Amino acid sequence: MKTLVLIVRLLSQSLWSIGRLRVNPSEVLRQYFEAGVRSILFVSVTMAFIGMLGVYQTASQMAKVLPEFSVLGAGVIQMGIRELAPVMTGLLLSIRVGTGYAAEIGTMKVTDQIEAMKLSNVDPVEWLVVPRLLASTGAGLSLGVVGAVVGIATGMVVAYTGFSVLPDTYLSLRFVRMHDLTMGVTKCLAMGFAIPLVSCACGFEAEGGSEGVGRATTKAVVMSSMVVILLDAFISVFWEVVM
Amino acid sequence: MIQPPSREERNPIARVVKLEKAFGENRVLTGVDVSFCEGCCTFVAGPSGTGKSVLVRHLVGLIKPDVGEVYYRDKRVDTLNEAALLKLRKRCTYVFQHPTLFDSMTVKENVSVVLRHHYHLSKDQADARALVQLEKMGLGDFGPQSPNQLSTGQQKMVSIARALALEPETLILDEPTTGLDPYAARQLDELVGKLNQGGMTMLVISHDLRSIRRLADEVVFLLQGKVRYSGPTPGFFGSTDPAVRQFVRGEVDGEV
Amino acid sequence: MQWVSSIGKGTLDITELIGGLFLTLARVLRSLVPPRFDTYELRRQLYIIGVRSIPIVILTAFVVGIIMVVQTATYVHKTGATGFAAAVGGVAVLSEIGPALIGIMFSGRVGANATAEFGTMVVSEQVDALKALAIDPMRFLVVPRFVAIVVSLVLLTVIGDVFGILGGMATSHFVLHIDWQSFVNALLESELLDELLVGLIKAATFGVVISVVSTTYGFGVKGGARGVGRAVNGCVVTTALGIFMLDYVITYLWFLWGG
Repeated sequence: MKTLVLIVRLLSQSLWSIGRLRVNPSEVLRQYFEAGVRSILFVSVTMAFIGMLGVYQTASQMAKVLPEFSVLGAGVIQMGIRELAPVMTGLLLSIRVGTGYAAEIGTMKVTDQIEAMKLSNVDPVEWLVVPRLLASTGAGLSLGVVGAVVGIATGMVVAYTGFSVLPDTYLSLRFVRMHDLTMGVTKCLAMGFAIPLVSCACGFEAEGGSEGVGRATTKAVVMSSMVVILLDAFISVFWEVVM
Repeated sequence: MIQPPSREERNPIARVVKLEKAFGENRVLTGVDVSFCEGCCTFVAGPSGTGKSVLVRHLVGLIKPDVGEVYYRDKRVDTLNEAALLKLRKRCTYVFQHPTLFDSMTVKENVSVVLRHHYHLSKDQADARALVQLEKMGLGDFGPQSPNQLSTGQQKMVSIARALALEPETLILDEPTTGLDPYAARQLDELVGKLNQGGMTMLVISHDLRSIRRLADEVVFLLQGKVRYSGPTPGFFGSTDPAVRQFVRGEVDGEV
Repeated sequence: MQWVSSIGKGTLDITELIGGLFLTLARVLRSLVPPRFDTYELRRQLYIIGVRSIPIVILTAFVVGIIMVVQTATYVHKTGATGFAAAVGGVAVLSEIGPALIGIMFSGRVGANATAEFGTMVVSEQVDALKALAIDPMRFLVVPRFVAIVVSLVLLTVIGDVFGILGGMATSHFVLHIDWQSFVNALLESELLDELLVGLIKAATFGVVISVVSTTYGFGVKGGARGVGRAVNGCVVTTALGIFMLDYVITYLWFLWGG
């Protein structure tokens, strides 16, 4: 598919630019603020509900099997770090940032600003993609952490109010091993890295006015959420089976 | 042979009274009183941006006035709700200046969707009638094509065909010949003349003097949101109003 | 003190948005009674929205099934409770992960698309053209899609549940070497039907959210290509938020009610 070829091309060009240190730090910072900081509210509120949901669901299931919740917190925290936080924040990132990048770059493409850049000898990949790539990777990790913390915290509230699990019991890192941390971190970084590649590619392919921008943003959100889920599966299986 | 009523005897089919409309800072219409006679072919002329479209869109309720009243067949239009407006637009149909064809459908489907909705036909029945309608206007070949494949002139004709599917008694055309080559413009003029002779009230926004001369019974001339002339065509071309004369002669200097 | 005013503005924006959403919902519901909408358009949308989404739903569900079982593998090895793996895998998929993730994928594919289409039509005056041709955009554009979205999402969730369980079963057997017979038994012993039902209720609710949000954003587009991009962005963000909020609310109410 044409898009996949473009993604690979963007990847190689970006790595080349990064390798030669042709990076604009202030732009990266600005993009990080846009992607990472501006998304905090969205990620926090959504992860709050997901955290409450997850704990509620798990605890109710456990109650049916064995009404003993001492492992609830430990289990939730471990699962949060290795699975739920990365994949959920990854999805939220793909939703917010994926459409955002595709919309930005798509609009620039249909208004011929990309052409203008090339004619002024400015490399669109270096100028547009690289900062977003770096920023989003960083944002993936920081939002993953924020998401995990928020989800675990709200889960703690539900565990206490719904199932009388004391915070002391809940907040147990008993099950968490290095293995889980590395899995979680790798997922966050990988997703943060992949999303801008996919969505910028979709943006660059936009053509045809508002219709083109609409199509590009739709494609971007579908493709980047799919990539997030596939990366999650791949890394989970890889980590479990190989490591 | 029953003679049609003379121009003086024809009733106004639509009227606006003391119409004012502003968009933000921009005061587009500043007190307009006009009536359009039934069965006439009335041209609304004036330089670009004087509010011709805005005025005429009030008649179908696409715009609501800041001040003033709008009447169609002596019933208030500007106070109607959406459902009642939909009924009105079946009798008085407005065709946009830009073709606005539905690009998710073929040309034929653009016309048949109107038939389907208003005559409760099945898709096949509607498609068949749509094709007949298009063929009457010489557009039959374009039926299965996508609107984007047609030239602007052809698209405009299709959008008129689509409006005609409603069989309205009044048709409002917003600058139908703007952007068309002379041949296509002539064809469109002929269509307007034919429809008017068949009894349809025509309201055409246009600054094409040739079309006005050829087709118009009456002319409404707007300048900067005010009516400078409203009456029969000979009077328009013979008007002593300096703005009208400037427009008619195509002169550059002056108010217009 | 600028941040205070931006919070104030943000609150106003949110209330305006919520107002708009409820207004759209009201108008859609009103146009459903009496059900006089374009049935040809409904069938067309059921195909585009429903049938064409089947591959992506199957893929998502299968992959999610794999993930769920892989993640519970640690507990299995610790406690030897293969039943637990099955229970968590199956049940979680049915009542929780399935509807939510399928809802998210669906909202991307369908919701974003609807916003983009509506937005483009608004920008190019096609919506005004519909009104000028005495066709109600609600009955023609919105309601067929609303019905198609809700019906499709419910049916797709069922399909997704099946494939999610299949994915989980495959992983259990091939990767974790858990006998799939005991997986199926454990699955059947858990209260499948209940969980399936709540999952479907969620799916229907999410469908309503997706349709209402995408319609509100789509018709509110201002400003050409840029406006369309912004609307799609806003739509998917709000939809995701709405889906997870309602997910929690429904789960909570279900258990309160004794599910």
